[in-house]
Amino acid sequence: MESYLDEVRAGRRQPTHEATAVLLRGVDLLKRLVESPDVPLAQERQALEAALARLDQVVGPPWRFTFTPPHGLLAVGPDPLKLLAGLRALGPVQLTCDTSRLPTLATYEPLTPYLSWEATIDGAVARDRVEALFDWVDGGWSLTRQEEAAPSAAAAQTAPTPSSGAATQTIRVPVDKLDQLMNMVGELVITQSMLGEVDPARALAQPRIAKISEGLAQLARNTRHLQESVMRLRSQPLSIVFGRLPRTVHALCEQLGKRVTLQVTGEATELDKTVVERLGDPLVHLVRNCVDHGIEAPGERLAAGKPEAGTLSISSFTRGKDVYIEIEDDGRGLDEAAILAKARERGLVEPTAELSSAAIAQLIFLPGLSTARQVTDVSGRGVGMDVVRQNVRSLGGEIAITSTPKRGTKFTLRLPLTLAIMEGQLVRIGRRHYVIPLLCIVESIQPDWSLLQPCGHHQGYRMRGELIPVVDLPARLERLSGDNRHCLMVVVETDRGRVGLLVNELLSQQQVVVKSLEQNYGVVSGLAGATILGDGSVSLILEPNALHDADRLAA
Amino acid sequence: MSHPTPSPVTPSAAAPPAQREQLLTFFVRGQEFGIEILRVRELQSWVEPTPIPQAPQWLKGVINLRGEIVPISDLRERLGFEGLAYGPLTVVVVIRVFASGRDRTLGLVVDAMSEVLTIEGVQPAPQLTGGDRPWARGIARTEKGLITLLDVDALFADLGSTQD
Repeated sequence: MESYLDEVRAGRRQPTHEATAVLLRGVDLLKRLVESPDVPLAQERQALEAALARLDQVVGPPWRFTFTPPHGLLAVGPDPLKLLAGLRALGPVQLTCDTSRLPTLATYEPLTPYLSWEATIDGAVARDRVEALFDWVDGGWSLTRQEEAAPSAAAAQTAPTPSSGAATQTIRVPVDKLDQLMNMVGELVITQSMLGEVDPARALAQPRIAKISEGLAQLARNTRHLQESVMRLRSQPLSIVFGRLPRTVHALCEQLGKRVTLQVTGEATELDKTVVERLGDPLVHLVRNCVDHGIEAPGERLAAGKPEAGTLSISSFTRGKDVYIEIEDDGRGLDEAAILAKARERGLVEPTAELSSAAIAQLIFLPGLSTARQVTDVSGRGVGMDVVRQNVRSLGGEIAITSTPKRGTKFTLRLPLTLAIMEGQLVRIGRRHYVIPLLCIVESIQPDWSLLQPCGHHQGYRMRGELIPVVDLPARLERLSGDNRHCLMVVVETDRGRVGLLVNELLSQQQVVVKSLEQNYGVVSGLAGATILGDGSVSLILEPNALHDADRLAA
Repeated sequence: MSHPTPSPVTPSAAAPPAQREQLLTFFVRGQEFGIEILRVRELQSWVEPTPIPQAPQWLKGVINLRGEIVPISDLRERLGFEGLAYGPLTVVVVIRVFASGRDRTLGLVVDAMSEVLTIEGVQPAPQLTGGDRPWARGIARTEKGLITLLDVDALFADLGSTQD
């Protein structure tokens, strides 16, 4: 396997589809051997060896073989002529004899070999068969692929450059040390927001104290930079997850009989370690989906006037405080009619409702909706896009889909750079402060109470023609019942549509450091965690997706 | 709610009862209780915690302990008694507990602190163990009277998974 890769690297061979499959199987076998050396894998090994032998045969230019019998060979070793005859038996061989060193008869010594041979052997002949033949000959022969000299010299010149350029110095640091640092920076962010709460107009009116205000601005700037640097320490390149994808795609193509070219760009984009680690499954799922549902079989593609091999491109880039990952295929696009029919069948959509293409595309994120006509090993078990969206949302991100029939589908994932700090909207509910993630807030309104109407067990609010459920947070969280006429409504986007949250007061928007409730307590549905405010008190961060359930969060 | 927690291997479970132990003792409803001193992280005065939705009655909420979110439990209420009003003199013992599969930090509200003492000859409390009081892991006799040793791991085994 290594020798094959070596030759590919040197540019002497083109990797073929079949060869890749054999190599991947080889890697699998090696892994299994390493993991459990005792398990007999003789059968697999044999199959693989056969495949490897085929690999050697199928590919490769002719061999160039030179043979100059060493001194003394004639005295101890086998007959050179028999060796050459054996060589001929292996396959088509062109043999030339070099007689230039032949002396005159007077000086001729019978036991000294004067002749040397040069042969071109067919490329399909396995190297080890020639080696076996000349095993007894101590030196004097060489076996190389033809055209070796030129590419390898070129490779030797270009090879060292990238490696020396990429050599950055690294140091290994345990993650908990980084977390400690992150914690301290979090404290600093809190302190800074505490200082920022001092009303500058009143407290800093005097010119002497104006310096403090300047210092505060500087502190804010430095804190932000420090925070970013520490965050970067915890970040890892996406190549860690992207690296798994070619393998997945290859295996799927084998299984489904499709041809897909995978293009990956932006794998150097960095994200928080936790995000990168938890991104693997959703990404693999999306890629499987694209290959299974999106990209058509080669025949179908040719019929549609597309190249036989589909293209799946995955790219990522950073924009502002978010990282974007786009997964795009040039397949058949979403089957809107099938999705709509399925959604109606499952009662997810009113039978008569007319939906736009975009709205239909959104349906695939609903639980229990799979359009694969038959359940396959790959996808179609109904556990799918809803789980992907849940995963992405649990990372504080969002997933969107756009699809053009016959042209392809594109998934866009937006993820935050870090999970540790988020933008939050501080609200007052009763006498306590809570945080609503800014990301999911659509708008905050002064509700017109005449638009409030019963909706199932609870209240609904008619907003621009849409009836959205209303969650009375003061009643739910602080057991404040009765008059909520003074409440404001924060409209948030959740998994299952918009929800209006009643709050008593909107306070500031600020960065909050997300602290785990799980660490010392447990998971509380409806809460995404807790944070520490400028005054040192703990404030709970609401999780709007769980708030949809009106029964949850009873105090 | 129950869940399969591997039986915790902690100093309290491993130490044979009849050994020399250092205890921190405190009063709850006039009764003296003790816990191994190595479990105690620090003592805190009462800070009003932020209540957690769906939490059991005895869990008063969470506080900020130097950047860490720490739940506060009222020991009186956890043991099934009526709670007391909290004031500036209320003491919170911050301890380590092994619950739901890992070490956690927990604040315990007690009526009053007593002392740190070294005891010998802790007797198991067969009449108390099992049944409704798995949290008593033994009794220590001193000149002043009896001290009940708390098995906090057993007492808070379901911390975080209990929801009303």
